[in-house]
Amino acid sequence: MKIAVMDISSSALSLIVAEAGKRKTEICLKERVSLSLPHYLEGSRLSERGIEKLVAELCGLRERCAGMGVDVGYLIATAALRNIGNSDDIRNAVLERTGFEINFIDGKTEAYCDFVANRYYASLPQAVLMDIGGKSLEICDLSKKRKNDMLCFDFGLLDLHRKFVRKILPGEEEARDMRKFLKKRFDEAGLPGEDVFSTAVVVGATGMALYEIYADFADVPEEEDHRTIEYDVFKKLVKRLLTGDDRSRLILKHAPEKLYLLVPAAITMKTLFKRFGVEHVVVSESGVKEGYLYLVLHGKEQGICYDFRSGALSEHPFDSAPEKPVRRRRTRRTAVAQQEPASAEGEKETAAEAELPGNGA
Amino acid sequence: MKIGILTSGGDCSGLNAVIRSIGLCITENIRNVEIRGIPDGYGGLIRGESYRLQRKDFEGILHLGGTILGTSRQPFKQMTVVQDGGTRLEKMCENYRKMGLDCLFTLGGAGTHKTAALLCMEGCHVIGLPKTIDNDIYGTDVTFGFQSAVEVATESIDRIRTTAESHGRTMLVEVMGNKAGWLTLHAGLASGADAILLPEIPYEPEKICRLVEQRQKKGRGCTIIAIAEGALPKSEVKLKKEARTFVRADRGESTGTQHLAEILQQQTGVETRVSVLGYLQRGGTPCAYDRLLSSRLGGYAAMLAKEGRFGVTAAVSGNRITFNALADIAGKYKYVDPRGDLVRFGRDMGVCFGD
Repeated sequence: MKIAVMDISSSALSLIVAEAGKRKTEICLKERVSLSLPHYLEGSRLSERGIEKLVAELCGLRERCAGMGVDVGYLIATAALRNIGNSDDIRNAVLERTGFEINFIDGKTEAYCDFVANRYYASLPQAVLMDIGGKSLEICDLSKKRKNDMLCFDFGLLDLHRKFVRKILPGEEEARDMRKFLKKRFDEAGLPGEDVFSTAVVVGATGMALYEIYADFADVPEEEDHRTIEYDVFKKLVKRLLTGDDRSRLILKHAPEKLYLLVPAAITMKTLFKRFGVEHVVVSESGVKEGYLYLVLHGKEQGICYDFRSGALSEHPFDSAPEKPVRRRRTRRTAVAQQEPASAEGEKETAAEAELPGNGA
Repeated sequence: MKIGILTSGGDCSGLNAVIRSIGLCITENIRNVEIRGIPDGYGGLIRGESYRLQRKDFEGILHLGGTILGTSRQPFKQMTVVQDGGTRLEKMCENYRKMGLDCLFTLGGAGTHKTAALLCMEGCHVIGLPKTIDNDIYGTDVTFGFQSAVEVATESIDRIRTTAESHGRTMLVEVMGNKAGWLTLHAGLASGADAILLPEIPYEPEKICRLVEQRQKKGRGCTIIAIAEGALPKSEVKLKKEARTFVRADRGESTGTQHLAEILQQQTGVETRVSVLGYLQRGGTPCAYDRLLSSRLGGYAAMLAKEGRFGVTAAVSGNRITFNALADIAGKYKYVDPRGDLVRFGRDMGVCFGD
């Protein structure tokens, strides 16, 4: 059975297609289409043109799915769309013109999806996971496994941009104000301080885009097997993104659709790394979509999907859950990152972990 | 309100029609507006040059080819290189502010849009307009200048066909398009070319030879091949651009067309000639379609400025004029889909794509 999960974020539409067999589930396609929603906002509402663009891109993804013989497709949206003033209009337009029902997922669920998709990092010592998004921030202590343990902040990079940045890219003073604000919010939320976490797992498309810039900046060879960030080099990159002559070019080269997000993301990540006293940073390819896929496959999340076979919406598309957990097709870059925790912790699963899905997406 | 207009990159038909449309729509719809023409594309902005455009400057230019503002190529890669104590990007931003501009219209192709996105990131209010004969700008169904170039290329192939038929020759007509083959595909289909070779579909010379031989056997004396300048044989696909350029330079060529012609002549024994259309495709008066399209795009862009919607580019979607965020299209190209409708239609009609 082929299952697709599409995610609407503040800067892109992304798609994964997985082949779910009896023994394993393997991701066979990952795609991404730029769609910078902030450009299509009129106040707090998405303009008609924005809705039209969203629908057109979704139709493209639907065609792609149909061409691949996908059986069912889930469309999810996180805070980026959830907090838009006319989200009901968007939902109706998408349903009417594409046949997809948008499954809005809340902050805790988003964090939990991230967690599930990256659970294999839990065996790393003192690991914390962070998903820095346009409209929310999710932070999870990977040693805690319940949904209620996930921390979700109701502001994101776009909010930081709107609050502190006058033009497009922030300057040093604006960055300072942003850091102060972040520190205050993190303190208020009781986020632990230094030496609590030694490893950070960064997930999400903005984190990935930032890594691409980091790799360019630090001359990381393309053949590098796993994505890691050195904190000292990262600090230099943040400085470059705040004051460098070529900062716009760097962003344009790697992620133009994230022009509002990348520098605030770099500032936020640096603030968090510093706060936690992080020594190692790993960037993960798996995030909300992979986690959501896992959860619906195992009946832990009840979404509404589009059934390509019948052309109708469905709530129960699976006869039975697959026997083995979702496993991502390993690429050269991610193989090592997946193997490290396994060798440290082995395959055993404790009683406490048993309530959770197994080694993730 | 102070508005600047510049045209950047290679010229094409329809630029003046867009300038006219922007100028007229703005003067008609926005009060107390001053329009500044920036000469020679981004070059003028780097040097801080501009002059006032009056309403009379927009009259009588609808049908003119080229651009009344002048244009130049300013490679994107050079924009952030430090020279004489600053980058070109910094100079452009500084001059944008010195000129007191509230909005800058940039008429250009994919590279121009990329630089426009860069300016936008640095806080300039930019609105792009999609100009190119290659039709390869992402996010728009069609660009202005493309249809006029299709007309020229189609007519040229028609004319070449009569010579080819008279002499029983194989004719390779090289059409512009280095990365995308839209122009070759449209002109090739419109002129009934027997083979169409595109950058997106690498060819095997043997298949073209077979086509020529089969046509000879069937008594069809000539073969017309529309070939994009960026078309390449399968054997060169894995070569890096530099290596490919080196191989071609070694043969004294800049494209692969002449080499293919030699192969065809050697292997089929049929007299084979090459005709490179070159700059003929860029110049001259815009066709009626482009005049209308340019006018619609220019008028729409003027309204975007009035609304204060910046960081976007005008686009065509279906039959409607609309806009895309520069951030969504910068650095992206629109290529011919080898499995798309037009290619499939060509194959259904027996056109050889060389693959």
